[in-house]
Amino acid sequence: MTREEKVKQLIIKVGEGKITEDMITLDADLNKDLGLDSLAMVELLVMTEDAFGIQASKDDAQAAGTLRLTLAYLDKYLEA
Amino acid sequence: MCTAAGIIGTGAYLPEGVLTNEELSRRLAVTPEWIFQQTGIAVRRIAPAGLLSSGMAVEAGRQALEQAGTAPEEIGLIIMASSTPDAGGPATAALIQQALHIPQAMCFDLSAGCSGFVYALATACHLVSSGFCAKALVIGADKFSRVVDPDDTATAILFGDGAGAVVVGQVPDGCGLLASDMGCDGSRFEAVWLPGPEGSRPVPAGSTVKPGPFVHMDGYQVFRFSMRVIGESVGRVLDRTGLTMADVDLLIPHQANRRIVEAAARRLNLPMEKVILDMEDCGNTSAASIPIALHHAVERGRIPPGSLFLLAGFGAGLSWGSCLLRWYDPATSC
Repeated sequence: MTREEKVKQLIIKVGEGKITEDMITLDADLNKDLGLDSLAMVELLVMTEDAFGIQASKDDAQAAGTLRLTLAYLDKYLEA
Repeated sequence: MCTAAGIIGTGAYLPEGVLTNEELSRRLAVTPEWIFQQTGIAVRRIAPAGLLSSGMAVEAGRQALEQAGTAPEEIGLIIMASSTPDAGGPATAALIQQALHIPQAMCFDLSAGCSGFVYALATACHLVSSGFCAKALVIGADKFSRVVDPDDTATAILFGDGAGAVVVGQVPDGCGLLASDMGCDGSRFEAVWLPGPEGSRPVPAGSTVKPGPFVHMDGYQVFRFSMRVIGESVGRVLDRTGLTMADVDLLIPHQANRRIVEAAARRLNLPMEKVILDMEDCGNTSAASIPIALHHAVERGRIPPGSLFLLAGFGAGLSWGSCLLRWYDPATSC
C-alpha cells in the first residue's frame, strides 16, 4: 500500500462511514469538504503518527488541511 | 496471606441541579448542538453551595456499603480519589469515615486527576489481598463546578459534579482484580492544572500556566494523550494476563467526553457495543466518572457474573491507570 493509500484509509476510518474513497482528492479540504472537525483532525493526526512512526509538531498538524498537505508533512518527517 | 480481591458493591450519587447545553450556549458563543456534537454531553449535574465532595462521597459510599451488605465496622480502609477535596487537611476520607460511622480505618485522599479512582481501586485491592484489611471503601468524588471558569468553553461544556463508590473485599480466586497498569508523565504536568482548596492556583517557577482560581486544560494535548494512552495501557494489562481484547466483555473508560472515548475505541478496533458511554446525563465528573459509570452499568445489567471488564482512567499528571477485573457476584460465585 502506498503512503497515499494508507492516509486515505485513515481518513475513511476517522470519517465514521461518512467519507468514501472517491471523495478524497488530493486537494479536498478535510474540514470544509469532508466534514472532519477539529477533534477528528487530532484523531487523524494521532492515527497518522502511529501508522508512520513519526511525531508531528502542532504547527505541522494544524497546517495539514488536505491529503496533499498531509503527504507533504509526512515527506518532511520520513525523508529527514 | 494473599487472596483475590475485587469489587463487591457499588454506589453513585449525582446532585439534582442541572446545567444544560441551552444554558451554556446563552453564555458561550456556541450552539447547544455543537456542544453535544463535541462532547456527547447533554447536561451536567451541579452541586449546591453547601454540598462539597465529601457530602456526595458519603451518599455514594452509603449506597455501596448497602449493596455489598457490609457493616461500617467491617471497613478497614477508606481511599478518597479527588482533585477537589473539601480542605487541605484533614483528608476528606476522614470526614467520610465520620459521616458513615466507620469506627476504625486507615483514611487518605489520593490525587491523580481523572485516573484517581483506578489508582485507588488497585491500591485497595492490593491491601485487601495482602491481608492488611478485610474490606475497603473506595470513592471517586469531585465538585468541578467549584473550579470551572463559567466563561471558558473548553472546560465549562465538559465538567459536572458527582461521586461513585465501591466496596472492595475478598473474592474467589480468578475473580476480582486480575491485572493493572498505572503510570504518570510528570513532564506534561501543565496540560491540566487545578487550583488548591483555598481557591488560588499558584504555579511552579518557570511554569507557563497562568495563576488563577480556575482549572486550566490544554484540550489539544489532553485529547492526543488520552486516545493514545488508553490503548497502550489496556494493551499492557492484557499482555500481563495473556488475554486479548477479544476476551474482554466491556470497557469502562473515564467519561472525559464521547469523542475521546470513540477515538480510543476506533484505535483499539473495539466495537462501541463493548464500551460504556455514561456522560450524556452527567458530564465529565473527573475521578467520579468511572465508578458512576460502573454503578450504572451494574444497575442496567450490563455486567453479568463472570464478565471480564476493563477500567481505564487518564487525566491530570498526565496520569493513566487501567484495571482488568472479573466481576464477582456472591449469588452465583463468579
